[in-house]
Amino acid sequence: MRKLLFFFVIQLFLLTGLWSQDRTITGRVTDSSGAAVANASVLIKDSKIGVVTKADGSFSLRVPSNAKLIEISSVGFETQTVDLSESVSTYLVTLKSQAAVLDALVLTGYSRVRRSQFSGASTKVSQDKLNYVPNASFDQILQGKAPGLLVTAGSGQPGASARVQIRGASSITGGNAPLFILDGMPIENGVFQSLNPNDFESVDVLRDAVSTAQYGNRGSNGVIVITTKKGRADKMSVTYTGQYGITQPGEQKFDMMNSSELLSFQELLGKSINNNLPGWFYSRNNPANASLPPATLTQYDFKLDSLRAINTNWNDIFQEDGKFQSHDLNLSGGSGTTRYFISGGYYDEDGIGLRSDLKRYTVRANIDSKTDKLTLSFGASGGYTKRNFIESENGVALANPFAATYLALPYQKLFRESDGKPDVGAGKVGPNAYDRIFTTTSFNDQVKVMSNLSANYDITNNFYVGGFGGVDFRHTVSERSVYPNTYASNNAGFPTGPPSGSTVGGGNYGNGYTQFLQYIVRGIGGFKKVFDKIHDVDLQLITEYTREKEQSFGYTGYGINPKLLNTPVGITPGTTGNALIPAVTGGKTGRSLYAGMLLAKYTLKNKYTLNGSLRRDASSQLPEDNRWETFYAAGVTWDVLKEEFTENWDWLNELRLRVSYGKSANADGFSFGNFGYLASYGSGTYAGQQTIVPDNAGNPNVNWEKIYTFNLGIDFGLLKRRITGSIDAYDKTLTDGIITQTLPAESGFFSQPVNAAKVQNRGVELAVNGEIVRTKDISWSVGGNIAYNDNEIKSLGQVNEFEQGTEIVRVGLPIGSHYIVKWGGVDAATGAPLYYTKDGVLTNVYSDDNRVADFGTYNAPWIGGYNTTVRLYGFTVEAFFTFQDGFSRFNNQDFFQLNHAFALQGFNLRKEMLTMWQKPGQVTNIQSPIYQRQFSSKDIQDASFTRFRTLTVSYNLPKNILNKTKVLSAARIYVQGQNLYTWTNWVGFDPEDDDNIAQYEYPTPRTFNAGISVTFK
Amino acid sequence: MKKIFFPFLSALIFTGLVSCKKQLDLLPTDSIDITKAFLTVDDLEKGLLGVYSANDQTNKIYIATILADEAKISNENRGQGQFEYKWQYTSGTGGVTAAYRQYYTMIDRIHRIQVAAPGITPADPNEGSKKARILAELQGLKGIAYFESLINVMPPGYDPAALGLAIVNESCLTCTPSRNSVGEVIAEIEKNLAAAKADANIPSAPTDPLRLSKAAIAAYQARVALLKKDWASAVTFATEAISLSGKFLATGNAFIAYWSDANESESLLKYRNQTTPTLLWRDTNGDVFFEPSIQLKNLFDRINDIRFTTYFSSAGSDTSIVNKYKGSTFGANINDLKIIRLSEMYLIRAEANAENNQLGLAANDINALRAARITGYVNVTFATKTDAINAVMNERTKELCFEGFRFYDLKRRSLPVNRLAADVQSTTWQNLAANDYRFTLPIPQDAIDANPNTKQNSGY
Repeated sequence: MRKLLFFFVIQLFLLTGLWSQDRTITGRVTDSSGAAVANASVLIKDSKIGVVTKADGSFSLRVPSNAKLIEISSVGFETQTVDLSESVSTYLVTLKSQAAVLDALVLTGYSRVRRSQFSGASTKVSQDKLNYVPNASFDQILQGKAPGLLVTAGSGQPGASARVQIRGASSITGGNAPLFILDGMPIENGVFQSLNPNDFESVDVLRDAVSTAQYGNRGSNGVIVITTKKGRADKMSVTYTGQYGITQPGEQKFDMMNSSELLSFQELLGKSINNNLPGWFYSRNNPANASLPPATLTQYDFKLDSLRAINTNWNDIFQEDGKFQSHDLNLSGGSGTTRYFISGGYYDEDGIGLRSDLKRYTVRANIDSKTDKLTLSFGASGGYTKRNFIESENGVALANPFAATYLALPYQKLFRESDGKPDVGAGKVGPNAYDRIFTTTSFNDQVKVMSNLSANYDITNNFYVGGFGGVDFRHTVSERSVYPNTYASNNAGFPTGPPSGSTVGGGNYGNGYTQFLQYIVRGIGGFKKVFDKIHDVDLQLITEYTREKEQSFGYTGYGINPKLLNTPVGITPGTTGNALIPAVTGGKTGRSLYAGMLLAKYTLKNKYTLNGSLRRDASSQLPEDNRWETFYAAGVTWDVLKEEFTENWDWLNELRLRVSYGKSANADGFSFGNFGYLASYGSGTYAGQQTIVPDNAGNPNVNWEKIYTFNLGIDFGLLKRRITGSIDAYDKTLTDGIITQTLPAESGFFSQPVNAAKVQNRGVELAVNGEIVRTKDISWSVGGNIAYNDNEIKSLGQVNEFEQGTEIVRVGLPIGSHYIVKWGGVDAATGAPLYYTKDGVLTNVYSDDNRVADFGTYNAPWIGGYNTTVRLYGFTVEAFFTFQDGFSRFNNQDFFQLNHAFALQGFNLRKEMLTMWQKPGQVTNIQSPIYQRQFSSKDIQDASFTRFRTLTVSYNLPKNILNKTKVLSAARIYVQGQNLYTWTNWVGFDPEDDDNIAQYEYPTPRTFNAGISVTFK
Repeated sequence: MKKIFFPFLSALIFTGLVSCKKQLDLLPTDSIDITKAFLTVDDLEKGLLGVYSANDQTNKIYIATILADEAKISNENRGQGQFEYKWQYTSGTGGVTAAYRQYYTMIDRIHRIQVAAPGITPADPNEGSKKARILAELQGLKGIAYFESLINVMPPGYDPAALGLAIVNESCLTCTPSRNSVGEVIAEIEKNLAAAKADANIPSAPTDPLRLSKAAIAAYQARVALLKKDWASAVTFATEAISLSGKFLATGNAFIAYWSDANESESLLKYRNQTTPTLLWRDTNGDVFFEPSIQLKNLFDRINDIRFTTYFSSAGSDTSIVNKYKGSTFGANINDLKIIRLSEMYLIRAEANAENNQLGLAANDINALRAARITGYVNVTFATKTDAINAVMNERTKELCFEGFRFYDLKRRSLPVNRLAADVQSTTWQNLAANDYRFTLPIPQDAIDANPNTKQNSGY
């Protein structure tokens, strides 16, 4: 359509232009998000007449009457040619980003910087990689999409957030999560389910000191900057995107025993350990049955036969194929000085665990307005999310359906024959867990509202002042019911009411809310000028104040009226007589941060750029004397191809060298929370009365953890930019790391936080993108990133090591190192489990003293992702893979499923258990049941994996068809699959997890969906 | 324009800095400032309750049971308490070391209140005596805290020269005191108990068994005397405790009801628990980790002794469940933990009298106790001192099983742990010789690491 219009315009021009004279045209150049592109060159084609756009993207150019075309170009954008028309004197030009790994603009949150004048290490993830992925938590979508960014999901529950880490872990006791910024506003980490990723224009992953300089006090673990979509100064366009699909359980890499196998295993077990399990109790080999009459024995045989005939598939009972759908409607447009983007979204995903789901409703409005001097930007979003959870999610508990699936006995039936209800009772793991799904609730309602307003006023051409205010508000209500008179309530440890000791469960109902509020105000004063055409100076002076408040309240009431479920009205009021006193919990906390900073950029001859920052920060979370700290960052970048000696390097289109160094910290990661530095008393209860007891040792000397990052990088583009990429090497060292120092017992306290640790992360990152075929209709590109991080604890102050559960924190080892006794196999002569001593000698004695740290860490040193895209006329096929390599994790499921003790307790085990040691000489990996099964390195597995994360096949309707419809300007239909296959040696649900141990976590689902996206004229 | 620009910015930043200084001085709402914790006598009382709350007996009850011969590992045990049961514990095993920090925490709480108290002026004479009573109780509790901790880390028998505990006299986060001798610690305990009992503001009888009475303090003095083998004092203090308490041995339904906290018939001192199930020997799902040993059950007259049916219950064919904490109106397995019961005073007096060769007096107390517990009981007399002592020890085992005594009784008398072969799966953990180093429990490794002056007990 647009082309037709242009032809029409040209026709007009040809007819009328013959008589025209020199004239002045004006216009504005923006990027696809509507943001101004400064310093873009506007040139009359085939002439030397041209200008450069101003900071607001505007230009004014005198054109001769014979000029027909202007060419607009800027680094990082595709050059665009615009036909001139005599009758039009104002041109709004939208430049398209170059499809490459390296985008020209780096959005650092407060401001945008041209990549050629930026010395930091950062990666942009564009909207085509972020939008319309069937995952309700956007952090999971980032996995494998930027070098050095580790994303590991801990749960497949819809909306669960992941563990995100950039360039390794630094803090031993504190947080290592990056800072998340949305449109200049810091947002709460780990709570993303109410944000709609389909509203995101781009995500910038900032990794070094210069790129995170604006967040010096919170940015030391990297910053993830989200920019939402902005309106375009154009007539309104309406886009609808709809998706439908299914979620289903992934492949399972182990097999549980069936009824017949389990019964014979019980018999096998009975030969060593007498038990009452049916496989042994009814066995003819059981000496206790030797003297029974033949008729009884025959009856026993029948019993065993009937049990063998039952083979309940608990997998099918507890896991389901879920449905998924999402609908998004976007309105974008603008006129005059104002642009807007308005969106509404609906997202609905069923989990693969019965009962679990997520429904989300979101709205967003972004409005931008600009007059001569004043620029205003307003954004607001609201999200409402409802989630249902499974019981005991990610817990080692019989109520957790993902544990019950495997612990439940295959020879037990789900339903009673008498009344068709779940056959609950003692030892009936499967039916009990199933019954719970319908006799309990676990529900969560969340509202998240975000809003921000920024203003910028140009006092003169060189000076400007600005302000920013933003708020992030979240309110979560969680609800929990255990229905009265059910198996779940009969077996719960809460008051049942009179008569005392009654076996009839009174049920409970609980309700709790947490509220999070963060607001930020920022004042900016800036100076910008080019001196003598070669000295480009850009200074910003910023002050910033952040306040965060959190509060929570919850209650649980008992004695529920069965006719009034899921409401507080059903609670029996508590009296001392009925002992149904409701439990009440809650708390309030908060913090504030202050920052004053100077950000500077100086570019010489458009070739050399110096980025620098100096800031003074304070956090209310530290003692007054240590509250204030100075942070800084400095970096230099050299645009090599601007040098004359490179004139003939035709094969090279882009080459920049970057170096940066800086000091920063992470105020979001203090292990002791907001007030942990203070010695304090707390209120407890004893005998129903309040007590006052000292509850925190505090430390008046505790100080900031400081991180020093050095980064060296190269950006390159070769062969007409067919190959683009970047390489970065870094050293990120944490000093004054906070560890928990144990106090003498005589002090009455256990520990206090002290600054003692030094931790180093060193690594290399490579991102490269190649366009193998690049023609108008056919293209094929391959790209990927890989990062290696070496983490090492350099010092722990007064000690050299300390244990943290099954981990050891030891100088010379990486954070997260496993620490356990080394497994030595099974002694073929005796069936005894063997272990290695500290010195590597085989022994049959299990002792904690023999624990060693030879099994690596659960933080993957090698991470990355790669993709390939083939475009064939209107069709596009995109495949995306992620990988994490060189790490190991405990598999606690092995401990449960390969452990005879759990069979004795009436649980099912894995098929391998049939190879349990029986007689001398038998070579097996399953010990004799007369020995206790210990937790050892046998339960550590290599968790490295490569995952076929996404496959998308899409088709864009061609213009001629679209034109025929008369209403559509763009249309795309597609199908996609997520988590299609995982290559791994890990035996369990999923090698990917957010911690060091697998214990029946909700597995990541596989999803398939089809979608359609249409834009109306 | 330029002229006003920089002054404007400087002003902006300056006001920012000044106002933010105030904004950064946030104070917590959910914890109490150390300078404001104790300002009134009521605050002192809340602090005192905090001290009582530190005297949780749960771990002691568990350790005294599974380290001795009262319990047997059940088939349903998945490793719970097995390091302790099999005497494979080290300085890193939680169960055997927990009391060490627990009682220093209690002592630290006492010191903090003692420091704050002189600054608080009572509003009236009532408050004055309330304050005086609080201070006296604190002193008594200090003696109790040292005693409860000392019995773990001191060697078996009674050697005043052996290593005891570091005596601390003030609240100090980083002080690193050395261990005092057992004799010095005992002197400290005796001093505090005597001073507390002498205070006129402490009531004689345990009308409120959650707080110290003269009877309860005398009972602790009796325990200390028994440990020291000061038989005469043991008799004196036990007699004093019995008479001050004003209580009588419970029988029949009153005795049964006592174990569901329906009456206070035998309580001299208790630890209040109305919230947490005491599930030391069982799992929440009903799995039994430890069951009463056959050896213990064999001591009872299963038919006539009310204790057998009250203390144990069955799951299936045999009595395999410890039922001493069966529950109260507050829920199943939710019970107060009895710290001192009247019957223990009878047993202390009987043991001390037997040791003093007062066999008739010893028999009197044993007969009184048995008559209260056993239907159709016929009084006995003791022919020899050995008979008397054996009878007392057997009676102690039966009466006080699963209440935190057995291991400490064996240790106090330098006796071995001899478990019945039928109670253990392996002879490796059947017997613990009387002189074994494991009777002297380890100091927790983290306390050794944090205080280089603390000497570890030998063997660990």
